Amino acid sequence: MLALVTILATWGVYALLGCGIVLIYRTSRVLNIAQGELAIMLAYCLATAIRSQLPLYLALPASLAAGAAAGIIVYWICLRRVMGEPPFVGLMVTVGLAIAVHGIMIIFFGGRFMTIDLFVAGSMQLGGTSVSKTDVFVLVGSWLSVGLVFLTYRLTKLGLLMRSVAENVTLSAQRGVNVDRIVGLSWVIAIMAAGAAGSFHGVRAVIALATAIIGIKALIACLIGGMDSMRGVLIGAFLVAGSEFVASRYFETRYALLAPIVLLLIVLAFRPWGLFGTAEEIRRV
Amino acid sequence: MSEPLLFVENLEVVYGHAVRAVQGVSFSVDEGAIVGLVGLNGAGKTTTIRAISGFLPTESVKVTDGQIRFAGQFIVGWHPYQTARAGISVVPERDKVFNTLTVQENLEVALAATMQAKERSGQRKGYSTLTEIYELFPSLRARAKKDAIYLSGGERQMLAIAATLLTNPRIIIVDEAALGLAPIIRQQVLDLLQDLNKKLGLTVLIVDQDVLGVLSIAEYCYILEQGHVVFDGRSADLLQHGDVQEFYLGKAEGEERGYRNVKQYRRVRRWY
Amino acid sequence: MRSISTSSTRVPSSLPVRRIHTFALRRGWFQWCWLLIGIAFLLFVPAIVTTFWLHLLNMALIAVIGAIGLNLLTGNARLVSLGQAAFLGAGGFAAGLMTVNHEPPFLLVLLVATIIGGALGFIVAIPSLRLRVLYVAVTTLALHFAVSLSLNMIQAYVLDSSGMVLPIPAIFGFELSSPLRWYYTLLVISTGIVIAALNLLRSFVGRRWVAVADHDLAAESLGISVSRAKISAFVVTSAMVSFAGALQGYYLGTVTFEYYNLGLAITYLAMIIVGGMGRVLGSVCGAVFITLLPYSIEKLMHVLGIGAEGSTLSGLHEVLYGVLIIGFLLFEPRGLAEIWRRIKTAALDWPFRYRAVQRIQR
Repeated sequence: MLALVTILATWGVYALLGCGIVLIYRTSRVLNIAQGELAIMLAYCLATAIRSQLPLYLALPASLAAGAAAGIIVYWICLRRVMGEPPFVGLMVTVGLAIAVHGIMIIFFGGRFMTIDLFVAGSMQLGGTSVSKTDVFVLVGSWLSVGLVFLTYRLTKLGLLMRSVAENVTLSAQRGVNVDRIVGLSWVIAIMAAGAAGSFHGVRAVIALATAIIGIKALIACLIGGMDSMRGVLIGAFLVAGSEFVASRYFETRYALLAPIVLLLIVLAFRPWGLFGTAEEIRRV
Repeated sequence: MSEPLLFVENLEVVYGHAVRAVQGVSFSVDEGAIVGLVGLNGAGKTTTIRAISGFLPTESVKVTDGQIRFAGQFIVGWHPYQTARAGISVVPERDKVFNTLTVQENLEVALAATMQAKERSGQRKGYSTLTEIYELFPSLRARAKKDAIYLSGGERQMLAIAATLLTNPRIIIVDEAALGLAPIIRQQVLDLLQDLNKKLGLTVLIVDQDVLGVLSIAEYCYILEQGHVVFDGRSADLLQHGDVQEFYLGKAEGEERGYRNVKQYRRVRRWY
Repeated sequence: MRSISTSSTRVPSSLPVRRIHTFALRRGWFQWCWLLIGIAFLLFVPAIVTTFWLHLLNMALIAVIGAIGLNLLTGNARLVSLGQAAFLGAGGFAAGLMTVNHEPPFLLVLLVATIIGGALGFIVAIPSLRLRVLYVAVTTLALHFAVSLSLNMIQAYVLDSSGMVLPIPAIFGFELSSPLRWYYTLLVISTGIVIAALNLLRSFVGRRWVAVADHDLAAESLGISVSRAKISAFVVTSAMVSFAGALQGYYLGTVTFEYYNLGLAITYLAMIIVGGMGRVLGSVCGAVFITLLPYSIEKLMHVLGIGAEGSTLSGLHEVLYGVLIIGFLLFEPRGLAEIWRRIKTAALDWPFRYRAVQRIQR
């Protein structure tokens, strides 16, 4: 039971990060390498806000607003212009962004280790074993957020417009969709999701500069599941979380990253576009 | 007679500093009329449509001369969604519908995007809610929950036209209405367009290679050839014109023509 | 009009002639003068810089070789590669492993490292043949992980140490024991590589890469084997990069697996982006620029009197680095080489503002 709760909680965090990456990829065809860094930066902001005695009902909306602002800034300054360019350009812009955000974090948060202390602490009884309350909180919270993103994507009007932009940008523009705004909103949602994921992670574990590795793990989850599949990211996140858990339990902890990578290599050998991704094969060669 | 709804004046479009796709093209579309713009491949029809709707790729393709006036506004340089909101709706040649969305969702996208354009209520044409559209296209209602990828060619065209109707257009530009469709479906589509024009007073600009089909429903027609307008006139007059008959409608009068009288040669000699 | 440019074909003088600039080595006397001045400058640089900057220049020259390899692959053949660190690591470790207990000849070790790099390139080329750009990049990323882990294993278990030490190399008795000697050797080597790359791009091999990158269907219908072109692109460039890796191993004297991380691959990508993708001049500019950047910033801040402690300084470095990458991608996607080209053509076209026929820049 303890193992189950742990895996589910990790799975939820990776899935939340991952569905942001997939959302961005679907609407703007850019692979967002900076997702992890942005997540940690926003988590740092929330931790600082809480640490400075700001009441929770102010700190949470403030950090959400910070996430939205970050999304708008990132989209407006960096990525609006690279919409039509080959995907490599967008990728490298996010790489530059990741480096810059890392530097900003060094300047402002200078290598500190922080945690997000909410009122949730201690342990509780669940199914016969005693599990940590924070784990359960993170589990519930992250999965609720993932559900929120999925609901938005599938059921709302905004989600419909996002799906239409994801399929065919030109046709959407011809139908009067404000592509700029829709893509910008998808970036905002994705970065807010990243902020939430980073914060949830900070509730369970420590936030440090190196924690941005969760972005890489979420990226691996997306790659395994399929870059353009929202469903795939759930499966991929499960595989990453599960393999990580197994590796750190039965081997040493420093092999924790090794297992997902090996999984990725196996998937890439047979289906480079992911388990659920659309086949991107050139059949002529 | 008031000013035409769409007035293209002396348009020149250049691809990559090198190729003049359209040169000195002028035409106008009056409100409530069906106008045809026909020509063979490479005549510059799609380029003209792109120039009007704002879809010219910005880097290498430029409108280097001329102006386009739509409802009194100069629209060269407008973004695609701005022209769409202003009321220019294009049914493109390929990729007419969203394949991964259902029929219902396709229509909802068109509706959702132009909800902000409700302030143009003075120009509402009717057929701007889903129920009305479904009345007009019962076959779409039967397939409302199906993914659009499963529709046949003719149904896809219907869906595309239905979606453009939902965007509350002032003018519909149909690019290659009948491409890849069986002749009977082709006729249905053209009849539908004529129907919409009569019932709603919708302005239609048909751009096609099928000269005979267009001439049968359009009131006024322009014929493009290699980026220039070479003929224009009322359909009835064009149908009687000897050159039009010979080069576009496939009729030839008189005796068998020899090599020196073959189309290509004569065409090159005659107009340039 | 006649003294400056030369086209490589002769046309009868009765026809109107349009001279098009090329980067040809055959030039008029004007260019020869500049070339000699440049060579003289490069030869006398050690006399005017300190040993520290000489060391930096050596690192930059090695980076030039690696950057040229990456640029040929990612800039010209348009096969995005995140595996730069893997190839460098393969070369470095090959050199290190060969010199563990023996001391084989320097040139032999370089040759073996090059061959190993080529083989590795071949291995990664095979799965990339059918994939689109993003997934080629993902495959090279996978290669990076695989090689990085292997190097980790080798260092930890096979060697049981924290790194390998390489001996001081000698070419036919000429020992490379000081930065000065390394400088001249590296100058010769990198000049050779630059000339080789320029010629490669103008040979049928290079032109096939560019053709396949532009439009593989059209290239195939012209009779170019797309798979062979892609494979040869990977093999040649990875051999070049592994060569650079081995050189670097010898120069620094040690190889450790931690050095060959993803950040290194990104650094090289930054080099070719900032320098100019697809242009050999771009690789050179970018490699020198990025290598000298951190220290130049420090010097500049020193001169301007802006003080900053250690952590803020490194943070500032990174922010600047990231902003630089983003800035170049957004505003000058063709890099420093393009800026240089604009200055040059403006100067050469003067007093005209532009030319009727523009040379198409890739």
